[in-house]
Formats: sequence, structure tokens, C-alpha cells
Amino acid sequence: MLRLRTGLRGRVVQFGLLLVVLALVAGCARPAPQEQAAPTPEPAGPKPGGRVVIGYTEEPNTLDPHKTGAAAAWFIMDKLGGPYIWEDPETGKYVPGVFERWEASADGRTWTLKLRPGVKFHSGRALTAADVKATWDRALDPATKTVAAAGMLGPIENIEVVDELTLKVTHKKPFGPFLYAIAQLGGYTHTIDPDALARHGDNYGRNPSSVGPWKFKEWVTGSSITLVKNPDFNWTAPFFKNQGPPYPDELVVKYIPEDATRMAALEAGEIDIVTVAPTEIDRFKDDPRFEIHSYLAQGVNLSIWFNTTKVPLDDVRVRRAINHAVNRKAIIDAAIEGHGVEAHGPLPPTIWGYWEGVKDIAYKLDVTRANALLDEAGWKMGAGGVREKDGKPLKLTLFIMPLDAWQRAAQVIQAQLKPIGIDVEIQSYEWGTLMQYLSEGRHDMNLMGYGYGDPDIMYLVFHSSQIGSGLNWVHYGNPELDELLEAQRHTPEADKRAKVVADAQKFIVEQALWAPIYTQQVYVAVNKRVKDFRVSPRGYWLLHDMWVDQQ
Amino acid sequence: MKHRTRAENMVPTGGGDGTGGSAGEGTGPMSGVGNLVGTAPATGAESRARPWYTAAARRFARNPTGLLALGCLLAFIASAVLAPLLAPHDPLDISGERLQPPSREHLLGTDELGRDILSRILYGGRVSLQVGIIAVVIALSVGGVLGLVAAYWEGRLDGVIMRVMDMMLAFPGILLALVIIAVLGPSLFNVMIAIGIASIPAYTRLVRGSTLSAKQNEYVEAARALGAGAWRIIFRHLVPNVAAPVIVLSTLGVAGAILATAGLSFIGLGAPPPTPEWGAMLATARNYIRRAWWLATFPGLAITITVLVINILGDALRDALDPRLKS
Repeated sequence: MLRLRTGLRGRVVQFGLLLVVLALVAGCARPAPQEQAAPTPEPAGPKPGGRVVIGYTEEPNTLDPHKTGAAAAWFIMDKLGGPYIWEDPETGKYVPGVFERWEASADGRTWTLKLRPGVKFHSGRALTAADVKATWDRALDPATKTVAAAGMLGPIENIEVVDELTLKVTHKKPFGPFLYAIAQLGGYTHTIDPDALARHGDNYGRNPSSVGPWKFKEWVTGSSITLVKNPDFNWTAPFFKNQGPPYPDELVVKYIPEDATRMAALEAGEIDIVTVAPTEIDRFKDDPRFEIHSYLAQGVNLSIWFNTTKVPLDDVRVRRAINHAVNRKAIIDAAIEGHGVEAHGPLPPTIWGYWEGVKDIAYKLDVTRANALLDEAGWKMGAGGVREKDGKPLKLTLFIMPLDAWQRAAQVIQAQLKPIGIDVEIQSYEWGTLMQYLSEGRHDMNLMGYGYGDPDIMYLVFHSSQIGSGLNWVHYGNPELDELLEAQRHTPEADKRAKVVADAQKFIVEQALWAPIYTQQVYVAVNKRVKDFRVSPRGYWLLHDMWVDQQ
Repeated sequence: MKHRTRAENMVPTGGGDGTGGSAGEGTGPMSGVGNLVGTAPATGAESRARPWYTAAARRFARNPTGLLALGCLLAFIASAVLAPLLAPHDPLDISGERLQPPSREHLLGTDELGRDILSRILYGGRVSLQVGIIAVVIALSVGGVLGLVAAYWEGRLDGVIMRVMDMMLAFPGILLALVIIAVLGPSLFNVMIAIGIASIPAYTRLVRGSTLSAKQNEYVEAARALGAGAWRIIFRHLVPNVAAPVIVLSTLGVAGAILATAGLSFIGLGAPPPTPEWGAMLATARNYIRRAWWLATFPGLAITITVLVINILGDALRDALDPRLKS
């Protein structure tokens, strides 16, 4: 009996040890850096050929630019369509792409756009102004049920084809964000090849065709999208060294949702370029096999959004109390390993129009103030450490997506709101369900993040017209704020617009429609066999000089 | 045990209607009604001397592995029940330093939010135990009754019940549980229901099979001849006779349910955060497996050891309860 017992225990201990050893082996699995890397002579310069594989978290729903708002789709469409105009990463100025010139009329309502001659579709046919008009008319046609592109193009009254290469776009009111919509957001507004659209019809989203540096080759559902280089491409931005077609033969985007798996694929050499998961950044930062590019994201990647129509979050004092109670630093540490900066307003410093004054009116961590605000709002501390008012406990739901970072953040927020007497219940839903529930207003609070390069994001998120169908999940409609948000859209003069944008930020922070948490520092790891990959300070990946060292 | 005492008691009562006369024939060949009735008191006499559970317990006591497993399981139950007393920290307290390796302050280290892993494992044991037992109770009560009903009445009812069970068996258990959770929504309570429902067919089949063979026994015939009602026969005579294999299956079922819960929580369909649940702990730990081995190791060990111990106990119980299987 004794013998057997020790025998069993021995087996159990052995098994336990085995698990531990496996964990340790996994921990040490990183292969030693390749020793022979040093002596290879510096290659003479870019060589064409080869294949670059990019790792990406989620797959697009479609590549029809009018049927999607997904960043994953934009990422592909940007390569297929290429922006109409490029933003110079050094100066931040717009430089020619498909459009050689663009001029606004004196009243700011009409844009005259001049196409570069000789731009061809992937089919070989020349691009004309009529094709651009056809695409934008389709985007603006209510029957298309356009998700994102129509809002980006603005309130267009009329598109006129002046001649083969000239287009006149007239807005109902001057529309400031228009250039951004055809530049960095060009993925959503790029010209569709009308022949391909006619041929594939509803299936165009799986067979896209346009004018950009990369041509669509293949989409393996659940796995990857493959693009091949467009050998006729010759209209890239002047700031690229390479003025011809892209160097690599193929560009593959591989979809690997799991953080750990994606990073393992990078280590194994299966993918060349990937955004590093925050939990893995420290491990990859100093790895000699990879080049790391880093930038502060354009957007507030995490905020608590309040449903302002529901008790008790219809009371600005409760919203302010939560803003005072969250310890942003602790959330950044837990959710993204400290790789981010605290956010206090709807815009991050990386977006044009960011108002410095946000810092002064920001809600600083102050639990005493938070408690006082809740007391003032009539929520008194009850039994069990949960506040009550009229016999109702202060219980709030927090809707999230099952993303690792969000789950960590949600649990920290839950723990931080407990001491001020708020009982938070975390509910996790997939993207589609979450969007539906948020539009219906089933939530008290939700976690949300955005990436956008223009202050017009505030219009999309806070304007009363965006309640229900749009992104106004705080369900806030206020004429004063609406007026500011409309004014910034229709004020083309930069300094005047900046003033209105600042006023809007002030209003939003004072009303505490969000509890903004952080803007993330993004790290992109590139396998060193891929050369001359760059990222603009605004986080736009510049792929045109990229080439593969095939030695 | 009970059925035999009842059968025994019934013979004198029933003797008045004429069948008692053959009682004395004892264990003769089963060639007539008289013989069938006669076996009942004989078995009863045997069980009076050595009730089946005594023999089983004696056999179990001779199995050191089983005893060790039982001891481990009792210790595990005690630690789960006494978690609030034993846990050194609040399992939800995030004030600790994040990702600390095991130390005197935190014996098994802290997790990605600074929570004490030992405390979370202790509280997680409560969740696992609860889900394991409740899921089995659901499966056993529904599956058992269906199996008894199907076997006792046979015929069309049996056909309908068993075809439905076959349909459920066509799905792998975990897939069926996934579908049920997808319909009900993810929560710990729904996990219990889902796992319970998914394991119903196994119990139905087992109980039906055992009941069908137990039904052949003479004492059942005797009870029926004496005018006992269907439910009386089922619960007094059949249930105790099929108990042994069901005990074994239920024990193993608890282990399976604990594993399934961990699996469902791992893919985010089980316990919502911040519930300390072993599978959910593993799920978050996978992102840190290279940096902090203790995050995944200890919940993993907790699941492994618990499931292993219950399985060993189940095996030992089978050996003890059903010596015929031993060869």
C-alpha cells in the first residue's frame, strides 16, 4: 500500500514536473540568433522578386469598398486602389497620386480634381474621370447602403465630369475632411473597375479590381488574401525612392487571430511583418532578427462609453465620478503592459486639431471627489459596499468584446469602481452582436476604441444624426454639440476649424460622455530579410520601397 | 440492497395468494413461475449475511490507489469548501504587484492583474466542484429516468427515447454543449445545464441496458405477480440493482464535467471574468506562457490532478462494485 501510494504520488509529481518543464522549454524556445548574419556583404540595393507576408488579426468581411467599414478591409483596399493623393510622411502635406492636382473653389464647396494621365486599371483599360464619378455615385446611392464611404465623402451635391481627366465635386456646404477621405481613407473611396463590377455583380467583394500598385489574386477564406504586383504601376508618390511597380512579386496577408500564434508565426519566419501584441513587445523589442517600428496610434484605443439615456448615467455627475475614479495608469499597465499614454479627451495628440486645453480640464484620479459627486447625485453608500438610490443598487453593465486587452482592462475598471460603490457586471459579446446591442442601447457602459486620422470622428460618434444607425453609442443628442460638430465639417479654413474642434472637445470632456483611457503605442516588427519598410508618423505603412533580400 | 429486503418482506405478504408454496424450492433451475418467485428470498438470505455494499467497501479498502484517490478528492473538496478560510488573499483583489513569481507572500505567484493565484485556484475549486456535481445531477436525473422508463416499458416509448438519444449521441458532447451555450448565452449556470444535457444520453443508455438485464431477474417477476405497481418495481427493485455502474459513470462524469467546464471557459463561453475558474485562468495565461510560467502551470496542474484523481477513484469504484469486470 505504501509502495503504491508513493508510486502514484511519484507519477503525479512527475507529471506535474513535466508540465513545468514544458512551460520552461516553451519559455526558452527562442532559437539562438543566427551567428552567420554578420559577414554577408551589404547588398547593392533593392532587387525585385520574392514574397512578403503580413500577419493580421481579423479577416475582412468583403473587399467591396462600399460594403464595409472594417479596418481589415481598408488595409487590403488601400493596396488595391492606392490613395488618390498621398500624405508626405515628412511634411504632412498632400502630394499627387491618382490626382495630379486638386483645387478648392473660393467658397470652398467645389473641388476640381485633375487625374494623372496614363493611369490604368488592372485590366489594362485607362482610368477616366467618368470611372471615378461612377464609383462615387455608387457610394452615394442610398440603394447601395454604403457603410463608411458615403459619410467620408461628405454631403456631395453633384459630381461633374468636365473632360476625360477632370472632375468637379460640389458639396452642399464646404466639407473640410474631403481630402482626408481621398488620401489616407482612399481604401474606402478608391475607384472600382466598372467592368469587374459588372462582371461579378454581388460577388465583386471577393473579386475586386482597381488601379493600385497591387492586384488581387486570391482569397482563401479563414486563411489569407494574396495580392500580386501590378507591373504597369507608375504613379506612386514622389517621396518614394521606387517610382516603378512594387519590388516583391507577391504580398500575402495572413489571418491569425490568436496573439500567441501570430507571434510564433513571426518567430518561425512564416510571416514577415506584424503588429506586435502588447504582452510580447518586451520580448521582441531587442530581438536582432527583427526591425521594430513604433508610433503612437491615431485614435483613442480605449474609452468607457456611457449610455447617457439611461439612469444613472444620464446624470453628468455620475459620469464625472467614474472619470475621477479610474486609474488610467493602472489600466494601461494591465491591459497593454504600459505601452500607451493616458487619454483625457475624445482626440489624442496625434490627430490634427487636438486641443491642448484638455489637459487642464481633464478628470484627474481623485476617489474622494468621485465619492462626493456620487453622494451629491443622491447615490448613498448602502450595505455590502454598493451605493443605492430609492432602494435601487448602483449596478452597471460594461459591454466588451472578448479581446485579451479589453478583458484585462474591464476587470481592472471593475475593481477600481468597486471602492466608490459601483457594482460593475462585465458582459462580453462578439463584434456583430455587440454593435447591435450598443445601437439598441441595451448597455450602461461599454469599452470601445477607434483609429481615425481626422477630428471628424467626433461627428461620427457624438452627432445626434448618428444615433441608431451610426456610431453614436453614447446616445447623446445635444443641439449645441451638433452645431459645433457640423461647423467643424464645413469650415475649410484650418485655423477656424481648429477653434471649433477645440470647442467641441471642451464640450465633450465637460459633459463626460466618455471616460477616455488610453492611446496605444503601436509596435510593428519586420523580419530583417524585408528591407526599406517604413511607417509614417501617422501610422500609415509605406510599402512601396519595400524589397526582399532573398539571400 | 433495498430491493432485496422488500422482496423478502413481500413474500410472506404475498404468500396468501398461493405462490408462497413454492418458496421453499430455493435455487432450483428456473423452469417455472414457482422457481422464479423462489429465488427472491434466497438472494435475500445471501444479502442479509453480506450486503453488496459491504463487500464492495471491503474490496475498495483493499485497493490502495483508490483509497489514495479518495483521500485526495476529500482534501480537494475540503479546500474548495473552506476556500474563504484557507485563501491568503481576496481572489479578486488587484492591488498586488503584477506577474510576480511564487514567493512567500504569494505562494503560487500573482497573475496578469496582480491577483493571488493560490487564492484563485482555491476559489476556482468551488466553481469546478459545483459545476461537476450539478452537471452530473442534471444528466443523471434526466438520463436515469429516461433509461428506466425506456427499459421498463420497452416498445414504442423505448424506441422514441432511444432514437432521440442516438441523435444526441451523434454530436460530440462538447459540440452539443457549445450549441446549447450558443443558444442560452455564456454563463456558469448555462455551462452546467449544457454539460448536463450533453451527457444525458450516456446515462440513459447505461441505465436502460442495466435495467433491461435486471428486469430478467425473478424477483421482478415476483413483485409484478404480487401486484406491485410499475413505479414501485422501478424504484424499489430496479434502481438499486443498476446503481453500481451508475455510481461509476457519475464519478467519471464529474471529472468529465470539470474538464469540459475548463474547456468552455478557455474559449470564453464559461465563467465570465473576473470569476476565478481554472479554464479561464489558463486562457488568460496563454498570453504570458513565455514570461510567467506560473500563470498557466498551477491552474493546469489543478485541473490535471483533480481530473486524474476522480478518474482513478472511478476506476477503483468500478473494480469494487463490479468484480466481474476485473478480469
